Amino acid sequence: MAEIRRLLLDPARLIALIMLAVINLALFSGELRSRREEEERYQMQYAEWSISREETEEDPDAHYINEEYPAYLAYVQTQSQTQSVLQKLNKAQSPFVTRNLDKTVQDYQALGKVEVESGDHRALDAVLDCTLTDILLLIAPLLLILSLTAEADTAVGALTRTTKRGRTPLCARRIFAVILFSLADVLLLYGGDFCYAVSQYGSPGLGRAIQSDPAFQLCAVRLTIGEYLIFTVLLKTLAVTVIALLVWLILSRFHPLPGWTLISVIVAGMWLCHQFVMPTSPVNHLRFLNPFAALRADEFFTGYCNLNLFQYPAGFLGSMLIAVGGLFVLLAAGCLVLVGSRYPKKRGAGMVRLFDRISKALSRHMPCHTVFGFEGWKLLFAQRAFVFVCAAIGGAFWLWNDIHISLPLSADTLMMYREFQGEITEKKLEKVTYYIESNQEYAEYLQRKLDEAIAENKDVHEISGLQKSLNEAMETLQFWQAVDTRLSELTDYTARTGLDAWFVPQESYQLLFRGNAMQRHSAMVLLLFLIFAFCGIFAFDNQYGTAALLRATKNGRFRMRLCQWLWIFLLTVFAALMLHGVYILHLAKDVEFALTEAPAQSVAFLQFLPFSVNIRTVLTVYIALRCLAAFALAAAVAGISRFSRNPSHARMISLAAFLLPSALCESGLPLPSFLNFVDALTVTVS
Amino acid sequence: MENILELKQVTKRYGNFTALDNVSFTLHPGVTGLLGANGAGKSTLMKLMTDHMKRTGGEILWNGTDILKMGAKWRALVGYTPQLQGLYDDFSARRFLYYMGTLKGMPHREIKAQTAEMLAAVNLTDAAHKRIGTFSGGMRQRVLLASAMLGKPQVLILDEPTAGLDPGERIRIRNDIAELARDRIVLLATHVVSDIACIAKQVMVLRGGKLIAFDTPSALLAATEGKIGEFFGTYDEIRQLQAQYPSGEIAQRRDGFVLRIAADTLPEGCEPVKDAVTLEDVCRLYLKGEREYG
Repeated sequence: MAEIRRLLLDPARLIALIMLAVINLALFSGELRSRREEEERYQMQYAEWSISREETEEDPDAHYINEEYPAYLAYVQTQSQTQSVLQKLNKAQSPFVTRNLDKTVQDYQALGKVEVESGDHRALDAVLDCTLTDILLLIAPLLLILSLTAEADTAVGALTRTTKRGRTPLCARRIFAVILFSLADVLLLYGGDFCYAVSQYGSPGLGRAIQSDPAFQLCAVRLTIGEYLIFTVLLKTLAVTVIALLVWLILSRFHPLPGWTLISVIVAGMWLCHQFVMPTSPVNHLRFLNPFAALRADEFFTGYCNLNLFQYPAGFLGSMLIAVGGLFVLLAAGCLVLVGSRYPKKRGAGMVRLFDRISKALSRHMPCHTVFGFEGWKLLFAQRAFVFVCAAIGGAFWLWNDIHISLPLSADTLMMYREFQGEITEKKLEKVTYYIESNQEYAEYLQRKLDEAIAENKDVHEISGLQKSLNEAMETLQFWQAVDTRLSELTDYTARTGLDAWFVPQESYQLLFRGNAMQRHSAMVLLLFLIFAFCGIFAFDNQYGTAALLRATKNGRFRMRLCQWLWIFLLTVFAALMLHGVYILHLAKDVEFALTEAPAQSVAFLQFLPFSVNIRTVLTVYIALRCLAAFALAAAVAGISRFSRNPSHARMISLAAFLLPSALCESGLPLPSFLNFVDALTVTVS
Repeated sequence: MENILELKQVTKRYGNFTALDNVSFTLHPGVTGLLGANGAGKSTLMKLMTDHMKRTGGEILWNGTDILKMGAKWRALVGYTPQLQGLYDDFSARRFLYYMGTLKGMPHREIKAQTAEMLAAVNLTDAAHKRIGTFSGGMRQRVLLASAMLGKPQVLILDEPTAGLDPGERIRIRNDIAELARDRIVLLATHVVSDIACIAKQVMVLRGGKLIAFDTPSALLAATEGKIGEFFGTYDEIRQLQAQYPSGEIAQRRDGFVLRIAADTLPEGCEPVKDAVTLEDVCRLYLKGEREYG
């Protein structure tokens, strides 16, 4: 027990776990908010531009419970009967197909009568796809394994092996500790996600049948939502434990370089199989009998699939449990034998040799000759800040894919819309009036045709086709009316104030200047970058005790500090430009960049500016302000670093001082807004 | 003209604790050994001399000019090895020396030439491109020494430079320091008294932040006359006597045990040592009662 306590209750490990949970919560809350905002935006536009459907359409939840789910169950039965007849006619068909159909029917029959009830299942849906959490789940147990393998190389490792219970019994306890730690990790991170989702959407009702949520329509297991959550936690724990034990086993028998290569190949292979093998593929075993499938967990409940095991269908959940559970037993036994009782392998040399080779090559071919160069080297490579720079670049790409600012209009309408952008001319005003009139006529024509079709009791498809065309025409008409209104407003504004104003698409600027959930999310990523990249900048010298030595040199004071600050500034600006710059790039992509020469007053919420200035200048000042805010935070992180014994301490303090309150504020806790540093990073125009 | 480094009534206080109390001495080219128990103020003195920390009082003058006024000019004249092995694990030895050369403001060509020279001097040419993280304690110490010697400074301040070195390396480094000290000031703090005995021109002893002795080794040895003695007896007798003289050193001889004592008044039955008095005995005499010396 002492060993388990030591491993689980180590303060540094616990703090790291809590910090990981906070980071996860911060990122998850950001993602959820942006997803929610996207949904709301879509719903608003849908409500604005479509003909009111509320009167004609049934509540989707009631529709699912009363019609869709019973229809699905009936479909499974009838499909089976139809297929059975076809099977008898087609003798060449594989016996698996017949058996699979029978099993499918049996499975759904065994499900019996499921009481699907209506309720708010948004919280449950929110945690269905938490890829980021799944990745973060692996970090803490891997850190625990790394500490165990590192300990084996030290005097403590040698010492424990000389004691009576220092081999197999100790290893067994450590395996148990890994399981418990993985469970704690899953509960904190995944549980944190669920609690946050519940705080946002309300409880999904833990006692309801899981099939009550349309996402789980295909589930052939009788479970309540609460049971599903427990099952998911256990599956994720199993997956995390299996991956951790795999790493432990390999690292204990191989030199780090081949060991990590082997781990990378196996883990990447498993991940690729899970990611790219289709559920309907003949080799879907590779997808489902895989620890990553257990880590994802939800697909076993949101889908239905039987695996072909020697022409016999086997339920994918049961098969996965046997396969991954078996792998766990094998790995645990392997650890007991190879880590516990066999003589330890000498490790470390491989990785050291690799680092040595890299160091030699860099030392030979990349000599620095300036204080600035050396300080950059120290920060980027010795303190590994380049990893976080790469992460910031990755974050920017991820943002690029996630930003959607195009209007939900047809390509033709959008093309016409682009014609209006720029200076307002008489010709444009006439043109928009023409568009409105022609669309009005077209909509009226469609309305007449629709009325006639209904009166003549024509085919349903024809009526719904006409209805659809009418809806589209009305949407386009409303859009052109909105353009006309905006053009009139701008003309009035120019006449009233004497300040010029052009017609520019507001949405892109709205997205950039007004700060949405996505921007807050990217600000959170920027905050993480600032903490992780700069927490060691000064603490690094304290850690290695070089401060006194450096200060005793001619340039070891002002010039060295100046160069360090310069690097902080450059990297901060780089990261801020990367993360905020994607909006500018989107702006350049979606809106003509030449339009940024338009007067700032062309943007509705910039009309308060009392002087004439173009959008490009405002944009530059705005981005500079954001960079400045980021630099101020970077300076605060560096300030903490200055007084910390080592980078880990500085990181912990910075995370607690900046990330924790920001994450809590972002999660919706009523804390004073000055504690939210995400606000500071997303300077908004209001 | 010979360079002179002069300390006048240098004092350093941390709150109520006085780490250095009115310390005054003058250093000339050559090795000056600095002896003292742990916590005597050796490292504090060195940090004040490198202007790493602010002094509470007194003056440190380089050829008559206060080093605070000289600022970076003073630091350009100083080579320093701190007590802790302050080196970056991810740097190679060569990169670290390049870094130190850059911080010392040396021209690039000079850095390249001197780095090769210093690495050869400390026998690290073969390991020049290896990561310092893979170095033994002795190798790290040699890198530090090479970095201190880089730029051929006028003043070398070495805080335990031979700690962790094997005997062969120690002798080699000691000889290098002696060679360097021919035309520059070297202040060498160490617990290995034999290092100082071999090469020091002068020795100073610090105790409780005060300078209690500053003279040539021979003068210090002469001052111990009649104060160093040896007591022969059984192990139990020796242990009893050692309780009164904790700094005494027990040695085993063929016919029994002997306790070597340093005291102003030797106890009864103790035979004074006339020859073979060492600086170790001087330390024992001056630093009796201090942690490091019993």
